[in-house]
Amino acid sequence: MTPTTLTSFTPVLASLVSLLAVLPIVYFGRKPNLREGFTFLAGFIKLGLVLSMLPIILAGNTIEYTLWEIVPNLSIAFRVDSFGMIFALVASSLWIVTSLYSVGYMRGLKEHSQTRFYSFFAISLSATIGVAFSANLLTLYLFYEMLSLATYPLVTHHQDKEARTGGRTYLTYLLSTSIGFVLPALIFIFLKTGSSMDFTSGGFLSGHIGASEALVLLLLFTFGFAKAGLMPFHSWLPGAMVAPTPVSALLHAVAVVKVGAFCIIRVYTGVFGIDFLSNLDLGTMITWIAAFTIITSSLIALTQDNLKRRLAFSTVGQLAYIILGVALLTPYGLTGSMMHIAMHAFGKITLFFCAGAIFQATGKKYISEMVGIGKRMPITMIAFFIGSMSVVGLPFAGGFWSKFYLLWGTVSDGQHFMLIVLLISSLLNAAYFFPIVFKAFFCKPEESLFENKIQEAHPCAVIALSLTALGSIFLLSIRI
Amino acid sequence: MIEQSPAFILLAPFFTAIFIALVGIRFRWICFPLVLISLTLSVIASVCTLFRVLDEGTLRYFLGGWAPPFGIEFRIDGLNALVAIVITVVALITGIYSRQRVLAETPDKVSQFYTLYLLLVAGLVGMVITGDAFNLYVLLEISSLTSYGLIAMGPKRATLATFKYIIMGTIGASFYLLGVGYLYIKTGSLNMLDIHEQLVANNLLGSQSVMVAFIMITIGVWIKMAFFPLHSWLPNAYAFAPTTTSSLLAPLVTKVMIYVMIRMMLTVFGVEYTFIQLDWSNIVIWMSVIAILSGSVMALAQTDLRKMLAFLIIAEVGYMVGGVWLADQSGMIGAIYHIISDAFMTLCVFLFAGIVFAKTGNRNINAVEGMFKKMPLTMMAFIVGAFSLIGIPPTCGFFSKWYLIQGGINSGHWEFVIALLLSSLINAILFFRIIEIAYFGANPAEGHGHHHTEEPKRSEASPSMLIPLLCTAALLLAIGIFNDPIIRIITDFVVATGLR
Amino acid sequence: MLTAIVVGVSTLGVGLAVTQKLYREFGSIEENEILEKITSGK
Repeated sequence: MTPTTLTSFTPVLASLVSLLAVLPIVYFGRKPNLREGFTFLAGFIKLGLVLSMLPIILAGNTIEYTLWEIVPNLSIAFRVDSFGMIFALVASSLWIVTSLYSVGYMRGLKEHSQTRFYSFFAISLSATIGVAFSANLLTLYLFYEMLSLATYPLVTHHQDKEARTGGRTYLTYLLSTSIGFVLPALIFIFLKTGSSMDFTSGGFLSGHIGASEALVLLLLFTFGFAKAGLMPFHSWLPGAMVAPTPVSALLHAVAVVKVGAFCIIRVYTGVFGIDFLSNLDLGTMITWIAAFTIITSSLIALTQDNLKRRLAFSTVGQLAYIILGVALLTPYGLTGSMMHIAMHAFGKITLFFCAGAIFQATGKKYISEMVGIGKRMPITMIAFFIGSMSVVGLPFAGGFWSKFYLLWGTVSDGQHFMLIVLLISSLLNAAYFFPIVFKAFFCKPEESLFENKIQEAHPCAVIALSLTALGSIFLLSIRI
Repeated sequence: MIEQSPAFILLAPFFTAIFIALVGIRFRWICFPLVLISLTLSVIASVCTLFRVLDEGTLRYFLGGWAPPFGIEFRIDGLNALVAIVITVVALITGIYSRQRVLAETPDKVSQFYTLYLLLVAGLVGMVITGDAFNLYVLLEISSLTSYGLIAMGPKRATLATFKYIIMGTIGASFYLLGVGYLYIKTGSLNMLDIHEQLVANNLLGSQSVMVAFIMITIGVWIKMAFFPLHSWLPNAYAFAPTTTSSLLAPLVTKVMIYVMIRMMLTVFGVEYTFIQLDWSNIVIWMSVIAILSGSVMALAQTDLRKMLAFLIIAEVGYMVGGVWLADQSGMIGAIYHIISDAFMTLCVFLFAGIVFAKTGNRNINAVEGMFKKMPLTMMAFIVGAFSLIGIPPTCGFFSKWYLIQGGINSGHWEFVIALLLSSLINAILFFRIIEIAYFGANPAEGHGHHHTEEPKRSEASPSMLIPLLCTAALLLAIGIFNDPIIRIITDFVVATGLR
Repeated sequence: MLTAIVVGVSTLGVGLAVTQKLYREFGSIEENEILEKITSGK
């Protein structure tokens, strides 16, 4: 069967449904159960819409929909292909789990302004799916900016001084890079090609720009999408950890950071084209930057005592894996990157859920205070163990596959140095995760800071984190 | 009836102004409805005119049936039809908004206020639709004189600001008049199109006096639009004027002067002369770069909300002057589109500032503390305006920047591109500073706070102030999302002038 | 010609009126004194 292009409104609807859900969420702000009911309803409709497109995509087709021409020759347009599909699936399924978790977490802590929280959460998801299904650079940019701004009230939810500082860092990094780097690059490309800037599988820049312009544009995009957290534009991520944990979990392990990585992959493959980049030999430089980020962030993560900050630096490193994979410019590297988006999402969200559950149940934020916690919260800590295995890349969880492909990508390209970087970093990952689990379960009784009574967090939170942990294991059985 | 639509745009507010001056003192209640009716008529007339321009091409309307070069001619093409709509719509929105503020701030001068208000609108609209260089001067002075009066109605410090404005404004207008005088000596005509034809036909474009005329007119207009080194009259005048006055003046006066500059450059002197023969683009663009950056930086230094916004206007004027002088099609489209979008952006933030002042009586930016809880709708509208000034899609500010940056890249003026991007970032800082104060409070709690303070009561401003603000915010989005038809009209105009 | 004179006269009129208002409000028309009053009187 030849690949065909279908026209359908479904991708637009899939993006918009959570935006529309904001109305009932705000309207029923005083009735929490009804309000959360709408969040779940929107979540399931969204997932259903995404799933309904899955068979079409699996058959090798693409779905397109052009909303309208916003600037002559440029339109707001949606397009669903396999890569966007993977990302949309991950984001929309994890939204439901996260909503479940948020109910447990936010009610457990009796947080204020929960209506605002759920509204902006829904808006952020709209933007995320919008990014996943964007057909051209302008649409992508639009949703990218929308996501930055919609997540600001979530990051600064506590409205205290710490939140203000975190929020400032967050916006400074994200807005200055997107307005300062991406926007001019966007306009430059539009001028040079005069095209509609649609992502095409071989890229559309080749033949329009020279080598030096390509280099500058590549750097502008790579650093401009600062959501991907490539050093030196990474420090917004630890700063944004002031947010409530469900936000950190979904947005900073999944939606926001992965949107950055997704955008970079999209630009490399759909705008520049892998062949164009490898002809100019531009990938090497990016791999070095990524390798530097991987090692440095892992080392920083080792020194962090605040669990969420350690997870944040771990995320910085894992994102650089994705960039490294795509910058190898080999098919295996690219597959590894795309898979890593999904695998790391499930692993990292589990870890964040656990961190939040620990905080909600015991009020502990620091790793040194968690000695012996396994006796008190066994389910949580087992899930934590599974999540960390997935992130490290041991062959018991989904993370194994993506790391496997990434390693294969380096080997097939003869990049032995990068192979070593990946291996060292995996060791470092193990070094900063496993001691936490080890000390939680296997400490001497006199060292333990907790009594031997099982007392888990809010049941909603426990169910959610078990689901994602199981998901991580389940992903092992998926083969691409 | 429809043939008379260009005249209606001007005459509806003009005659109502006179009528209010006569009867308004005795019947105060009559002022407000009359203002609304006349401005609505004016809006309808300008929309009709735009559609006629789209149908028939450039309109020539002879007032009283006297043909030029003796009579007064209104010449309306795509450009001024659009600007006329902007003026009348802004005036109508501010008119609705004025209802309460006028009674609160100048209770004993209601009829005088509205007389001047309508005369000002008539003057601005007249400047835009007239096809006669001298008439433009007269209308310029009508609008200036009325705006002096309106600003002087403000509290104490406004008087001094007005005095400065009178001096600067008169100097500016005299420069303009001198320039027109030179042109009259050389060509013997005051009609814009006629002047241009005479200049070309008699081969006068190389003449020194024409160059002097060009310089005089340009400097005069620059003073009036507060282009950077000549801006000193603006911030205080707009910051201390009564709220309604500054909401009307801030969006319109500078933009109308930009229009006059474009009209003079493109229609009277012609693209050939301004951009190719004179070739001063480099200098003017550097000046506009300085204007953009210094306007933004000075805005950062302000603690008075309206003064901060006033300095932003100076930066925005830099955008437009730079865009026009890029001598590039996209740059010109961007500058003209920015006239429209900036008018509404400025209106939006000034209306917001007015509401804050009305609610708290405080000029300082700290007055917005806790506004998200107290006035969520107001803040939502403000955020749309702020995002538009920062340039976030899909608000209209994004698209004007889009074209301006395109023009900058096309013509190779990278300094202009960088200035635009930097100013966007500074705007982001400026507005997020306000949003932060509104969201966190001026002094947020220390530590990991789950503060459950008493929810402050919701108290939005009265509908007569809130609805105009919300309408403006909706317009910002609409102009952005549906920018295509507007851009088409502008492109047709720019292409017709021969600019490439 | 006549119009320009009318405009000039009316500008002068407005200018004088504002000066008078300045004098009423600040008790002076010396710029230095007024500025002093503004800076000190805040």
